[in-house]
Parts: sequence; C-alpha cells; structure tokens
Amino acid sequence: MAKAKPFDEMHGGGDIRHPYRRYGAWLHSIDVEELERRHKAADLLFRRLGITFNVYGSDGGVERLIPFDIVPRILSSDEWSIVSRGVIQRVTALNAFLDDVYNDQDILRAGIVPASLILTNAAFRPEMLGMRVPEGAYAHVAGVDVVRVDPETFYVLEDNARTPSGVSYMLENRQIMMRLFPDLFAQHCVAPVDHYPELLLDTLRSVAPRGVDDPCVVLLTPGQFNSAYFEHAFLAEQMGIDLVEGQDLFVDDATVFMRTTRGPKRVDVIYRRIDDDFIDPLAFNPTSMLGVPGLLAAYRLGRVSVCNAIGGGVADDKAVYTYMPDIIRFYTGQEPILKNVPTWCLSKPDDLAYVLEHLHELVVKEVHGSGGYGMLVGPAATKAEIEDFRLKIKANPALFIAQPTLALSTCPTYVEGGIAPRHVDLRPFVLSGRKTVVVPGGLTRVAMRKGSLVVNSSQGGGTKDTWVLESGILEGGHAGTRG
Amino acid sequence: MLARAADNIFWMARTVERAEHIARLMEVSMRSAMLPAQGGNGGRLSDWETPLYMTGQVDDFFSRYEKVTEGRVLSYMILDKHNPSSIRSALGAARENARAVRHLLTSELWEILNRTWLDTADMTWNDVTRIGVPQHLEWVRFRSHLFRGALFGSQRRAEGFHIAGFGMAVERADNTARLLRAKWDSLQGDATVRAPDFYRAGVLLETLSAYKAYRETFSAQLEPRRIAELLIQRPDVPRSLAFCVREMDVMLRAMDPDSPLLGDLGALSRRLEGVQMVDLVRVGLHRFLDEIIAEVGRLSDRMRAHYLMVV
Repeated sequence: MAKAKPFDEMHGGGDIRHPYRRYGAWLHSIDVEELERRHKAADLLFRRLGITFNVYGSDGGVERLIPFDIVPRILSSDEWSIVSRGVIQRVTALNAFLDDVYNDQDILRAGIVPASLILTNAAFRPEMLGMRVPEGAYAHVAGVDVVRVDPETFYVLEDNARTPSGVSYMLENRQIMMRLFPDLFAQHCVAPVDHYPELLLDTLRSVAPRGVDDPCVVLLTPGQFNSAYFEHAFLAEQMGIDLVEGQDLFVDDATVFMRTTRGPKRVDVIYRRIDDDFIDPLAFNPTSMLGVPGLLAAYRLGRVSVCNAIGGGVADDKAVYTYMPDIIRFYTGQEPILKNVPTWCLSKPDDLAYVLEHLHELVVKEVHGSGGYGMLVGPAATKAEIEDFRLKIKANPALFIAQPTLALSTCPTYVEGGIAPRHVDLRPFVLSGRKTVVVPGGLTRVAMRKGSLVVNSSQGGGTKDTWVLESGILEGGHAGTRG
Repeated sequence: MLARAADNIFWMARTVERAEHIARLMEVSMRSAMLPAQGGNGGRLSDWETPLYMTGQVDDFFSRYEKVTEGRVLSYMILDKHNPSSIRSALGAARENARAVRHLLTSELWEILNRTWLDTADMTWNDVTRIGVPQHLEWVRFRSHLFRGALFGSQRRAEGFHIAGFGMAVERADNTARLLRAKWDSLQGDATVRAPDFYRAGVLLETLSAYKAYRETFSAQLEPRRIAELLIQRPDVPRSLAFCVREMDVMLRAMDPDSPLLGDLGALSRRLEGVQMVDLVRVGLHRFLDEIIAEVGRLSDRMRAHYLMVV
C-alpha cells in the first residue's frame, strides 16, 4: 500500500492540476535564487515577530521556529467543500456523542459503542454526568486531522477535541505569505481566514452561562513555558481578552474571579488551553499548580463555562475513533463524508495477532499518545526499532492501535536547492457554539524530510499556508484558457 | 488589567531602563578611567570598583575573579549571564517580561525588545570588542531610546502605559541617585587643593545627558553644588530626581486619580524641592541620597503591593 507512488496535489495525473494552474505557471517562471531569497525573508520575519514554539525535554525548553514553507498548499472550492462538510458533520456528531455519554447514554444502550470502552476510559469524567452544558457544545474548538490519498479520497486520522493547537500558524502563515507574495494574492482569489479570532470569540460568548449578557471571556494558559504559549498570547491579543494563568483566578462562592489591578473581576467563560488533569487540583490532579481550585464545582453549577468542556477527551480517544463512522450514522442519520482509516484495536486478540505479523507495513500508535511521540512507522523503521516496539505492544496491547501506512498526498515544497514533493496533512479548525462553523483552510503540516510521513512540529515537521480558492472567475481564469 | 500582567509590564520597563543605566555607568567608568589618577586616591574606590559596589555584585565578582581590571569588569557588566545586573541579563529579563504580556503591547514595542534580545543573546566578548565597547554601549542606549519612543509613540494611554511609565521613572530615580552618590566624592577633586575635578564632573554630566542642560541652566563653570542641584532639583532635566518623581506622579494620577500613593509622592517631591543645596553639600550628600533611594524603593514596593501583587 505504501509502495505506490503517492498522489501529488500539484502534478498528480501528469499535467498541473486545476487549482495549481496559475501558481504552477508562476513557480516555473521564477528562479531558485529568488525562491531562496523569499524563503530567507520569511524565516527572518518569523524570528523577528517571535513566532516560536517551545520544545519539551531538550534543555528544559528552547524556543524554536517551526519551519515554514513558502509554497502554498492549494485546494479548489470543490475540494474544500468535501473537507468542510465532512469535518462539520464529524464535529456535530462528536458533540452529540459527548452530550449523550454524559447524559442519556443512548448510544451505549443501543450497543453501538461498548459501554466499557467509555465508562472505564481514562478521559471519561464521571464528574460531568448529568450536566447540561450551554448549547450542547463540548468540543468548542476541534482540530480534525485530514489526509488525502487520491483526488477524491480524504481520511480523518484524528479528531483532536481537547485543546488542539496550530491555528495561530494558520493565521500567521497567511500574513507572512501576503507580505512576501502580494502579486500571487492579486492573481488568486484566496478565501480569507483572518476572521477566525472573531468567530472564536463569538463561539465562546455564545456559550456563556445563562443570564450573562456581556460575558467576560479569558484564555487560560499553563504559562509562557508551554510549547503553545505564543499561540495563547496571539489568540488573546486577537480577541482582546485577558490571558490568564491559574494563579490569576480564584473561586469564591461558586463564582470565578480574576485578580486585576482594581481588585477581583468576575469571569464567565474560560477558553482553557490546559488539560483536564491540571485544571482543578481539588477535583483532578491534586499536585497541579496550573489550575484553579474549585473551578469544577463552579462549572457544574453553571456559574462559568469551560471551553473545551471537561471530559471531551473521551471522544478523541484513538480507540473510540474506530467507532466514529457508526457514531456519525447514529446521531446524524447520514453516511460519513470523510473516511476513517481502517484501524486494528490491539486489545482484540485477532487484531493483535495480525498486527504483530505485519509490523513492518503498519503504523502503530499509543491510544493516548499525541504529538507524534511514541509511534512506530513500520516501513520507515529499522529491524531493531520494530523488535523494540513488539515488546512494548506485547507488554500491554490495549495501549495501542495500528493502521495501514497511508500514502499521504504530497505537495511541492521548497527544499535546499529547489522544489520537491513532501507529504502533507491538513488540520481545519472547527468551532462549535450556537453554530458549528469552520474557516476555509486550516493548518497544512508538511514532513520536511524526504519520504517522511511524520508531520508533527515536535518531530521536525513544517507548515504551509493553505489556500482555498473561491469559486469565481479568478480561480479558473478566463473561460478561454481553462485547461 | 490583570495584576500579574501589570507586574510584567512594570518590570519590562524597569529592566530596559536598567540596561540603559548600566551602559551609561560603563561609559562614565571608561571615560573616567582615561583621566589622570587623582592624587592620593584617599581610600576611594577605583573607577572600576564603583560599578561593582553600586550594583551590589562585588562579592559575586570576587568569588570568580581575583583582581579588578577594566576588561573583566566590562565583560562582567555587559555580557555575564550569571550577573543579574549585567546588560545582557537586564535585556533578557525585559524580553521575558514582554513575552509574557506581548498580547498587551503594540507589535512595534514587542519587536524592538525581541530584536534587541536576539542581537545580544549570543554575543561573545570577541563580538563586543570587534564592534568596539563604546559603540556597543551606545547601541544599548539607543535601543532603550527606541523602546521609549515606541512606548510613547504607539502604546495606548491606558493602565499598561502608565505602569510602564511609572516603572521607568522609579528605576531612573534610583539609578541617578546611586550614580550621583557614587561619583560625588570624586567630583570634589584633590582633597589638598580643594578644587573640583572639572573633568570628572563633565564626564558625569555627559553620561547623564545633562552637560548641555548644565551649560544652559547655569552658564557657569562646573561646580559640584550646582551639579547636585541640577540632578536633584531641576524638574526640566530628564534624568534628575525631581523629573522622575514628577513623572511618577503624572503616571500614577493618570492611572488612578484617587491613588493612596499620591500622598507619599507629594511628600517626596516637597522634600526634594525644600532641601538647601548649601546645607547638603556641607553635611554631605550621601545620607540625603540614601534616604531618597530608600523612599523610592518604598514607593515601588507600595505600588506593587497595591496594584500588582494582589496575591
């Protein structure tokens, strides 16, 4: 499966594909030195603006730049239509699923998803049972990772329903591209993404506690040593809201307040970028210094809204993932628009036996892992790595799932000395409040190493600007030149 | 505004001002050291020991070096990562504080601090000597001017701005008082001749950007008494104590017209106005300046307790 030549989004099928037609012509007209000059200019801009992320582990936290690729990833409006309808459908089902498992549990009773898988799940929070959250929204911000294998087929790899990051790169990449290539934007009708912060603020305000007309919204960050701190600060700035740490908040009389220069101020909506475990030391991890004691109690009383909702992690669990097509059918009554990657659950003996025999051709992931840590890409691994992993799996099979190695699509990418195809994925950001919406585009992540399928920034992946071309005269060019 | 964010802004402003002050202090030391040694020295600190005492780093310095030399003190005060009073440490702290509140700063302000830090962070002593130490110190001073320019030219006149302005004024008052105190004796010149040391006086004024101000104000020869008057009482000289205290008052009043700290500020201001220079010079300036330094410190603490550290 992995051996076939992967689908290239620009050159797939020989001629330059439709959405890339104008860009391709421009790319051929420009020499490598010019590209290199603009590549360097982009790098300098990122560094000067301080758009960095912190890397865990190495040296206790070093600021790095995410490699940025100056070649955009381009989708036609038709292609985007599939992706956007697909992710909205999926997130709608996710929210309905969460509302159900924390209340009526119809889906468990119907036997569609095994009750044990949910009720004993580490991400399941019994504290949320019987609580009706505003608008039935749990995954207020979801980052659905989509990959493509041919012109028509998109797969969802992961539903990130906890605290997905990367949206600031979507926004900053666009800013940088517009500064570097104004001429290209004049030629292409690229759907704007800059209104994302406004949509996010609308979403957060729409789920304020009942009776609060003008809610005070804050962004709760673990602090400036967190890997995504830049993004937290960026979003707070763009929305014009306070960026708070746990120590800035306190709960009094089941009400959350922040400490300001003029005394306590009531907080109504918390957009938190802290995991469940750390959010309230009284309810969860008691050693957490990042959270707010008493927050859960205030939340349960409906005195404050927490986004994303506590306990939402049970929906993006890699074992629950395998049931997503059925979950979508159960709540929406529709067929899933985006495919699920066939997945082996190693807790099942048959699946385990198959996977252990085919490790060299599969991708194996930890059920609760993220960020590309702790995964095995069979075709790219050495014999020793495979054997090491085999021992880890055998020690506790239920911790792992396996999937076929997908031939992710490639996009032309600027590399040392020219342009070459590199594998990409796409993370659109779906917002759920009173409505469920998605801005046209998302974060395209690109594996900068030749042949690599791992796009995570923590593993050396880079990003690209993602262009969704608006349908209209500019996209196809003039009727007479249409290819 | 979030109290913690306000504290970050306060320290951001103070540490930029501090970096500038250390640069000025190094400039005055370099230029004083070029002047002929004063007769007898009278047990005074050398030009290169003074900065170590002024910044409280003398023990740390001697735990690592045996002797005070120009090069060692310069590299220690300009680049040393482990010296919390070095220019590098001050610029790093300014940038870290700014990073914590970058969403509250204009992009110009953030970019200036970020770039200043990026340009300094990996600098080696070889780099500094290649550029030239005076040139590097001048660059630091100019970066601070640029920061101030962006602050005044782009930041909205709201709490954050006023807290930054207050922090800058507090830091500068402290710095001017300490510098004047440290250099006062050397201005008296040779004890046997009882003539002021014009050259040292001139260097001090120049490093505080106050030489022209002196000439315009007094159009007279440099006299320690008048230098003290200029740097303590003249509200029109931007690095004088009177100016700094007035600035603190302006910023605080704009932020909170009913601030309980305004009373203390008024008292400090009256104290500066009321003192007679002739008396001061006769009994010695040190005690007076020590009291002023302590009072400025108390004001800073009260400000932080009242507005910045609610915890």
